[in-house]
Amino acid sequence: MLTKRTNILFEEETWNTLRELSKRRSLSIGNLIRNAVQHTYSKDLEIEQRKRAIELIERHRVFQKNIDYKELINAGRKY
Amino acid sequence: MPDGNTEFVVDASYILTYLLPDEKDDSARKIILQYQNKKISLCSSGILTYEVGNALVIAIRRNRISSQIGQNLLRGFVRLNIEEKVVLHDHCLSYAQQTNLTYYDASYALLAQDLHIPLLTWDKKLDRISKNNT
Repeated sequence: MLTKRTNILFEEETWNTLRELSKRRSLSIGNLIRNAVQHTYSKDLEIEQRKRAIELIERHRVFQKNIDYKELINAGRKY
Repeated sequence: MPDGNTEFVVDASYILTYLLPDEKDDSARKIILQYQNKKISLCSSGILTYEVGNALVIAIRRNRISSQIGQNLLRGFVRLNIEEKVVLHDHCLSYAQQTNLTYYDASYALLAQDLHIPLLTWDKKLDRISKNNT
């Protein structure tokens, strides 16, 4: 859902390019800009999200003695 | 492929070796860090989260970890956002029969076979069958 608004200033040439693309692709200028942002920054955002997940795990994980992973999984499937 | 050049299927045993590392071997961490940086892609069968959740419940019941640690490990795991893919259930049933694997394990190996990519697992039987069939 689109809930955040911002104002962006463009140079004339960029603005004209966006208007032209908007007509050709039948997309609003807002849509073009949102797609461009997604395309440019989505990889960085995903890396950041994974990094935070790993930080959370590594703050809490505890090294185990004599652990049998298969047995743990099989017990989880049964009980 | 959405991410890095190399893609792997991971099973619950592999994820658990990262969440509950063996004091003698923390090698799964290297793969997870490569996944973090999008050097590789990871995916799994749709049962992965349930399997990891089940194993964490057992680890809590056995006092290997506290409930709070279990919650945080599960939260972190879910945020890793490893893609869970659907396997064709009739194929999975046949595959489980042919290989004498459980339906759960067959879903991991079948996914690796269908995608023509390696399966990362610490389960020796599953590893052997998957390597023979991929």
